[in-house]
Amino acid sequence: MSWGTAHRLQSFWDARAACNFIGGGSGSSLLFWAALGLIAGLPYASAALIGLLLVAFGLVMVWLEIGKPWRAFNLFFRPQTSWMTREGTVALPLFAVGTFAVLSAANLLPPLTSTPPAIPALLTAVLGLAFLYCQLRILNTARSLPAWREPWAMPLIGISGLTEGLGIFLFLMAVMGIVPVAFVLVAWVLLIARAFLWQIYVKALRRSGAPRPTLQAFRAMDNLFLIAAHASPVVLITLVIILPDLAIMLLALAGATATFGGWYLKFVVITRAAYIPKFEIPTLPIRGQPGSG
Amino acid sequence: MTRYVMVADLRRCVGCQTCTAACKLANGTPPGVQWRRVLDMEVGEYPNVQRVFLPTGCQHCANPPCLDVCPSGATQQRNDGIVNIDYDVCIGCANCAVACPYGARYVVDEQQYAYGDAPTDDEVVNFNPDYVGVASKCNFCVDVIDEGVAKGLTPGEDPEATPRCVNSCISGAMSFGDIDDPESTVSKLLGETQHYRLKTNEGTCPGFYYIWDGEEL
Repeated sequence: MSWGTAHRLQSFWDARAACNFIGGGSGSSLLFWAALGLIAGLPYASAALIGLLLVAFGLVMVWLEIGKPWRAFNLFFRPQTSWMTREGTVALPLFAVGTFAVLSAANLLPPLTSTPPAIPALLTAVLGLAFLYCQLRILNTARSLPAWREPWAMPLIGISGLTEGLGIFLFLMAVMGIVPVAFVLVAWVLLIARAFLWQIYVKALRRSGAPRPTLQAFRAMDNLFLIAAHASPVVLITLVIILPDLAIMLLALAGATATFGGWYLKFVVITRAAYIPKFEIPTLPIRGQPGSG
Repeated sequence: MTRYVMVADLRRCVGCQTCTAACKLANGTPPGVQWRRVLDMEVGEYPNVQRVFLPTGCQHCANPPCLDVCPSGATQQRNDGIVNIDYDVCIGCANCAVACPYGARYVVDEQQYAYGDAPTDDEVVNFNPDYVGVASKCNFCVDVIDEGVAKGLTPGEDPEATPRCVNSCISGAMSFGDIDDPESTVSKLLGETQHYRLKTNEGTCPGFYYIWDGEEL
C-alpha cells in the first residue's frame, strides 16, 4: 500500500507507549482509591506502593521508547503548552509525596516527621488524578489519529483508568481478606459506565468517518471486551453481594478481570486502532486548458 | 511581516519525484524518510478515474499542532512562518508525529542505509546522523533561505534563496515565496487561480497551497 493513499497504522508509539497509559492510568487511580480507602480505615501502604510502582513502570517503558533517552530531561522545557511536559512535571511531586505517604502509613518515618497519613495520601491522590488527566490530554492532542483525538476517548480512557485502579485495589483487599462493600458498589457503577462509554465512543468514531481499519480493530474486540471486561466482573461483583461465603475469591476475580479488560482496551487503542487517515483532495485539478501543452 | 508558503500546481505536477530526490540528496535523509513526498493518487471509480500527483510534506502551519505538544521545545516557529526542529534538543518522543495531521514527521530509531548494511558512496557523503533518534521533517530549506536573504536575494524569486524542491521541479509546478508580499510570485499565482489547502478543518492554517484551476498556467 502506498504511503498517504491508504489508511496507515501509526508506528511511532508501540506497546511501550501503551504500557505508559496502562501503568500510569491504573497506578495513578490506584493511588486515588487507596487514599479513599485509608480514610475508610482500609490498609494503605501496600496499595499505594503498587500504585507508585505501576506509574514508574509506565514511565520507564516510555523512557525506553524515546529516541534520545539521555536527553529525557529536555522533557520539562515546555510546560506552557505540552501535556507531556505537564505529565512529567506532575510525576516528580507524585513520587516524592507518594513515597512519603507510603512510609508514613507504614510507620517507617522517624517520630519528628510524623504527619497524619491521610494528608500526604490525599495529596498523592490529587497528584495521581492530575497525572491521569495529563495522559488523557496527551491522547487527545494526537490530531493525526481519529481513534485518539475523538472527544469521547478522554472520558472512556479516564473511566477505564479509574476502573483499573479500583480493580487492583479490590484485588489487593481480597488478598488481604477484606471485602470493602462501598468500593465494590462503586466498581459496579464504573464498569457499567465504561461499557456505555465504549459504545458511545465507537458510535462517535463511526459517525465522524474514522478510518475503516480503526473500526474493524474495535469490532474485532467488541464482544470479548464487553463479555470479559464488563459482563464478567459485573456478574462477579453481584455474586460477591449474594454469596458472602465466596466473596473473597469472587472479588479477586472481579478486580482482576476489570483491570485486565481496561489494559486490553488501551493496548488496542494505542497499537492496533490508531490509523492515520489517507489523504483526500477536495477537488480534482482541471487539466488540458489552452497553453497547458 | 513575512510568511513563506509553498504552492503546488496540481495541473502541472507530473509525479516525476525529482523534488523528492533533490530533497533527499540535499538533506541526506535516511531510507523511507521523504520530507518532500509526491503521492500518486487514483481518484474516482471506474470508468471515471483520474490520476493526481500530490506533493506533500510539512505544511508549515500557522497554528502547528506539533508545536504545542513538543515537550522539549525542539519544535519552533519562526517569525517568517517556518516551523523548524532543533535536532540537538529533540528527545524523539514522537508526540509531534502523532499530532501532525499531515503525517509530515518522521522518527528513525537507528541508522539505516538504502542498500544493506554498508552505506552507498552518496550516503557516505550525505548521511546526516543528526536525524537518528529524533523527529525530522521539511524545513523549507531554511539554510538556503537564510543564506540567500543575507545576500540580499529574494526567496522564491532567486534560486540561490529558494528551497531545492522548487528549484528542481521540471514542470514548474512548485512555487515558493512570501504570501504577505503582494508582488511575490506566490501571491500573484494564488490571486489568479483557484486553490485549496489540505485539512483546513483541523484549524492548522497550513502554508501549503494546491492550485487546481484558473487561467494562469
